[in-house]
Amino acid sequence: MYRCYLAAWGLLLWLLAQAIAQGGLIERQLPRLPNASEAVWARVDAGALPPGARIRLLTPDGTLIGGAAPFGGPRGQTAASYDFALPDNAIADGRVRLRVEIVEAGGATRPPQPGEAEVELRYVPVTR
Amino acid sequence: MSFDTPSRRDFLGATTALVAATALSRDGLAQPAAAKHRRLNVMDPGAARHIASYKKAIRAMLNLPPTDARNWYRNALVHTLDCPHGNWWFLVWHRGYIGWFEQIVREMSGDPQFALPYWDWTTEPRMPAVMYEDVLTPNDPAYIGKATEFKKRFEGVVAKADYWKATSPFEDSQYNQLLSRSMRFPADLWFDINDDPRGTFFFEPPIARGLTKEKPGLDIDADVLKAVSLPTVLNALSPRDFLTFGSARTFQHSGLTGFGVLEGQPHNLVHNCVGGAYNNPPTGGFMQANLSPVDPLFFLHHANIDRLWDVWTRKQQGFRLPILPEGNDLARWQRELFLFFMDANGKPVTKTKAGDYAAIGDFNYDYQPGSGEEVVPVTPPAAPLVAAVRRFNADVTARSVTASAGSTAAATATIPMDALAAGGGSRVFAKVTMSTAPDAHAGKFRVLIDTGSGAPQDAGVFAMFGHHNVTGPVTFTVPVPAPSAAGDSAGNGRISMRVVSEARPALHAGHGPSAAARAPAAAPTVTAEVESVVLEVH
Repeated sequence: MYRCYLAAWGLLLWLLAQAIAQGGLIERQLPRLPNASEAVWARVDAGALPPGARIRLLTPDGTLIGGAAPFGGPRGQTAASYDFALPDNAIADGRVRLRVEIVEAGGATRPPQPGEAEVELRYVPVTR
Repeated sequence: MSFDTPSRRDFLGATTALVAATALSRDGLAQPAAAKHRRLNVMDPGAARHIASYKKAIRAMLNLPPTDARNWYRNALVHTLDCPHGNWWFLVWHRGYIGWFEQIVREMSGDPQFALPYWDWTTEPRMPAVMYEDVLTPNDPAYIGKATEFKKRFEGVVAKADYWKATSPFEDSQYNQLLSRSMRFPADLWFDINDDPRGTFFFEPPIARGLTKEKPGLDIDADVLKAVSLPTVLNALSPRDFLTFGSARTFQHSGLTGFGVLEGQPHNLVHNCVGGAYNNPPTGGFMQANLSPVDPLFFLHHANIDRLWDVWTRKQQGFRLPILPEGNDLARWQRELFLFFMDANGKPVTKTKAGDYAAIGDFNYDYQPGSGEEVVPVTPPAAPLVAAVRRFNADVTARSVTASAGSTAAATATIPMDALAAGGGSRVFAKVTMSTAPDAHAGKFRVLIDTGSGAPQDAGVFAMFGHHNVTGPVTFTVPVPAPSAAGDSAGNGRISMRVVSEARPALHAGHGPSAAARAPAAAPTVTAEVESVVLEVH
């Protein structure tokens, strides 16, 4: 019988999944700044995206952090999480500010619908 | 209680084969023995001879009958039937797939020195021009031009294939794996390939490839350009553990769970972009779906992904960090069965486990350095980094947790103070494994740390979400404060904790005239048994 892991990362419970506010904005106070061997990453948990769609993460001023899309997998299994490494300028005064967009096939953008995506922030041990 | 350091043992075990093949370099950093084959950047002039052999092999494979497993489309169907995406087997399965493909190309081209070139899209964010030459594009007339023709030619051989048979033991059979991908019989496969209204897998010229010779650049989309950029690649290479680097843990390799940076961004977006998904309006292209290996570019794209895995592995080795999943995860990851690979003779391969492809091993290739190579330390660090995780089992002195007053689980762990970084830099987490009632939805459990003086410290709350029928133990991870000083003469720190159940809130009754009738009279309590507590020091 498989063991079911619901909390995949340490410190996840300090940084609970945050439902995305209207307009796709998310703002979160970090409990502490990352140390020298850590980086703050965002994990976007998204439900099934429309065909050809992707997730895009930006800073509030519109600077692109990255885009990610599903690929492969059996039909109907498109709900997934997507990791993004956050740049230093996504953190100011200990607060992370992000904007999440859904980019639909054809390029039109919109904020996620309620419940369509959630963002978790994580401290990831990294090499530099 | 025991002090358990599986991460270091597993690290040594996993790298045994690599260590056996290495010799120390002048600077003391272990270097791999020179590989027999070097995969070059496709833009390197030296790659031209490999491209010539590649063309020759593609023509030969296109001309093989459908009954030959090395037929070009038969080889592509292996990916359609079995490829993992969005999980921790993504990298290793594709290493095996393109490794065996490389051997087939040597056989079919008559070139035993052939090595797959790679497409470094970071330095070359556009389709390599050579990939529009004759059979290097699936728009070439040598390819099957109609979806109906493809089905006509391959329907028979697919229908007769052994992978539809329920062989024994069933759980280890190809058919069991197909069922996990919702492929019950050949009609399901053909539906995916030709008939799914959400999107098919087969594309007819001129949209067998989406990016054209006239507009070959990945810059048609800012997200794709960002995804292949050096900062993104360096971020993808930065994690110190395999699970963050290599995509999410899941139960079986057809389960799509989550995408790490490398897979979710450059890998997926390049696939979709070359496959025409980001054209305006979107067009088509084999690269956007699971029949993507029909496009010869697939193998150059995945050679670059594999190269970056090799870069990450060598980086980890340079920092003396683990290169594979650790502890119990390693055994689970290694034993996953890959049952569809074919060798250069068109026969099923004998290496059928993920662990067989953890290292490049017998494929005996390395890579011409490309983007991202700078993360590999040239000289070893002055002091080895602390292993990513050390684990210590706690003594569970009371297991049952109910909402009744005084009924709490309790555990005590001892951590050697020298396992903690000087200056308080270590992070400690308690992994609490519990068996709960099947209806544990929304139940909450609070972890309290007994500090020995005053009120206990609240370490946090965890709760069940989403699964209404829990059928196995569940593990929660909770950060806990590291001991600040030794608690005994042996220099050990001590952490004592309790797990307390909190009654779950009344279920939301919903809306509408019948909502009041649905509201429960009282919220039931949640009970659980703590099976184990493991303290991890990061």
